[in-house]
Amino acid sequence: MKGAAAWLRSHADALIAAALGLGYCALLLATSGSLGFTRDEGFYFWASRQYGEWFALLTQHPGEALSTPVVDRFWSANHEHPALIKSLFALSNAWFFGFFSQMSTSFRFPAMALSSAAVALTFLWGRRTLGRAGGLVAAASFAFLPRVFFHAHLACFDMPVCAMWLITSYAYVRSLESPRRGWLLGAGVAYGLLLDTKHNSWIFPFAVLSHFALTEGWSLLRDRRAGGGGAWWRRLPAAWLSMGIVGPLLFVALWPWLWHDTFSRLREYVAFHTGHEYYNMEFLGQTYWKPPMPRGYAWLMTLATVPFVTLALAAAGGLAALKLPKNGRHFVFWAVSIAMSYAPWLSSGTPIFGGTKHWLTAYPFLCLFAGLGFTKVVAALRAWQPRLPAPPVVAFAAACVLLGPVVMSLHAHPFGLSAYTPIVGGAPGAASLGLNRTFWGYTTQSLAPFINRRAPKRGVVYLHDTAQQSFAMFQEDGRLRRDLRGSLDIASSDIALFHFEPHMSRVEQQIWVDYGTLAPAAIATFDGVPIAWAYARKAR
Amino acid sequence: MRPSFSSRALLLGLIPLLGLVELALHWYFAGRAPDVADYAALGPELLRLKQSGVPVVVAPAWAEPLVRQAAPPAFPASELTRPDDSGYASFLEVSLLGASAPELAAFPVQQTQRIGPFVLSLRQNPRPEPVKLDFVAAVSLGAAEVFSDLAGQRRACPLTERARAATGGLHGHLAYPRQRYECPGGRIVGVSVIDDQDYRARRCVLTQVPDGGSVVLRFDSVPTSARLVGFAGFSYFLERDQEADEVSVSLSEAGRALGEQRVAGGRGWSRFEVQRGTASGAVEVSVRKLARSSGDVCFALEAR
Repeated sequence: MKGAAAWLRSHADALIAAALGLGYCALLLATSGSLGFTRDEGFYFWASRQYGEWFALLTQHPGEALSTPVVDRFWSANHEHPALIKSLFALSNAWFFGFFSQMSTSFRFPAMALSSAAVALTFLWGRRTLGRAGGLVAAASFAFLPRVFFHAHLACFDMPVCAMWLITSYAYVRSLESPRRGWLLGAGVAYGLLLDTKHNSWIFPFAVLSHFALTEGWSLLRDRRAGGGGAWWRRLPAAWLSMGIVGPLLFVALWPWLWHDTFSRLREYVAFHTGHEYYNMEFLGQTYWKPPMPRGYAWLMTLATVPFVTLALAAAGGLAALKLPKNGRHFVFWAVSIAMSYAPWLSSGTPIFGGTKHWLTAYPFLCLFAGLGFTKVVAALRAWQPRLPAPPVVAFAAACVLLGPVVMSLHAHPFGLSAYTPIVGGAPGAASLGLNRTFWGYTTQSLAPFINRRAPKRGVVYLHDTAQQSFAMFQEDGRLRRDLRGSLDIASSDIALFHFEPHMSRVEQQIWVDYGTLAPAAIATFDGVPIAWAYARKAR
Repeated sequence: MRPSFSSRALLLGLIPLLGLVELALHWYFAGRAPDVADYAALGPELLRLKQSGVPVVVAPAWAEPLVRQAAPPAFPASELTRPDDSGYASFLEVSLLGASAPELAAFPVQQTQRIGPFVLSLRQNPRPEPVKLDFVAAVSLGAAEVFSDLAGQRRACPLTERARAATGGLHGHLAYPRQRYECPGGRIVGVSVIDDQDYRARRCVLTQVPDGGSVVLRFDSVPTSARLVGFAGFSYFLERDQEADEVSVSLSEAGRALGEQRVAGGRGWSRFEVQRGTASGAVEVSVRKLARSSGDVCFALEAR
């Protein structure tokens, strides 16, 4: 008995981390069935199925699977994005399909697992630097950022890249502290996986360089000036070597599309993202579709979507970090990760079409600072009431700062992209301000009961912003009737969907002309704000 | 002034309170907007107050689909997709959450009535420009003659009631209506809707113009008025990058030229007007392409 208690005590943090991760994953799994499929998920479902077929071929006929034409045939699908996460979607679908009641969940599971791992790691990193309470508040604040909670469900790359950035950062910072080679190799492997997750990884080296400059640069320079910097290169972090060699090798090894014609395909990959098309995005009542993009976009959207209490804690933590020499290396890394994640939006040439998802990589670090801020809040409360025992003070303060984010995140489901915090008046206030109400066409889910009830037998549904592959998954999951046909032609449809974005109004206007009515038959609202609606054709 | 330790501690100690305040505000904003039952109750009252020729304007604009759903007859297409506000003497504003329509700000309130969470206000346009003839309505009634003019040779474009409707979707062409004039070469003229520079709907006469020629719409029996007020544009979403003139719209009456308007997609839905002379007769609208790649131009015209 004593042994068990001692084991529990010595492994308490690992157990808490596991409970956080598993609990978050369970919550995501429980709520996935009510969240519709975004456009991009449709494309990734399709690509993952291609990759899945290749994996099956690899196990049966490896020689054939590895031949150039076959590799290119299967891996050309969605080759503008790296393969790791889609490969995980494919393998999860192959291995775990039987465990879930819906097909889509088997594809979404790896992103949910990675998101949950990020929550657990946020706790562990916070625990290491801030203590248990700080770590817990950091992890929970991160898990219950409303936009994070939304994206954590999706078979997309945004939360996976957030998780991989965090994992790589942790391995890198640990490698600076620990002589163990495992962290060195781990940093290299993690960076390879990060590279193979999404192109946010290209910014990571700038975070590492900035961190080195801020933590070691001054002493290196001083030593050089004093004539003692002969072997200056010995002071460079060994992890750079690992990340510079293992990272790219792993990246190419895990992305079969790059196995042939590697350099021209790499060039194509880079060119796709550096010259990415500017999709439309509404911001403060204006639709932006070409540069200059508004420089205040990232900042205002963060303010409007991250619970203010989390921002206040993070600000308090950030200020406190300036005065804390202990753990300075960690705090600097958190700060540069935030800075680098937002840096692209200092340029008015950077697209803004993806809303807050582009800088999700900053959020674990923002929440770690919130955890630090929380420790200062507890210290202030205890200084004010020194006779109160610590546990109730910590519990009370944690409840106060976490209840709002938890409630807001759960309330926002399944309208995560429509969720705004009270600072802009919630969803109605944001709509009045002209902030984007929705994108990606996933809110078809909220109209599914109407479609199933109203569409004629073998009827045609105009999908608007929902991808055909996403519509197919709605049917495969049994969320939409299987006799229905999805179409991108209004004139041939019986039911027409409209996902609101100002620049897409012309779609609704075409429906008016073609259907001969201006009255929606069903409207999906969030907090009283119309998000998506449907028209029903009168009998032809 | 640098805050003392105690004031800093006080600020920190207030953060948990801030969390609770934010939660309370969240619930307040989440439940603030009217719900389905409120709109259902509004519908019959709105229809009772709505008069013909008095467009309904919803503030904030995002709530309009909900009001449209609750009271469809309150939104005739000609009013909802009007070319502008100047032709109307009054408006019925449906306001919620204390909002008011910016476009009606200069129109004094004549009457106000509260219905549940809504405030209905009758607003008077101090300087209305009464419309004597809506040319778009005339086209929709088939009361125009349409010709394709190639090298001075006019060929009639017959009116078809039940053509095959077509829509282009987000990146495609405008909605091509079933009732339309069909010109040689598969080109059409008919009433459709385009999105203006604010992506608002504008009802107009869609005109497909042949390369090197023009399309002429002839209107007989146009009542006398001081001027013709026109509006023209392309689907803003499709042609918002086009800054150069793409199409010319020329107006004439009884064979006398009244004026010309050049249209570019990047300018959005543009207003123009011409003075009418004393000689009355058939009014002709001639639409001519200036750039080969131009899409479907759309215009509205009113005798005021």
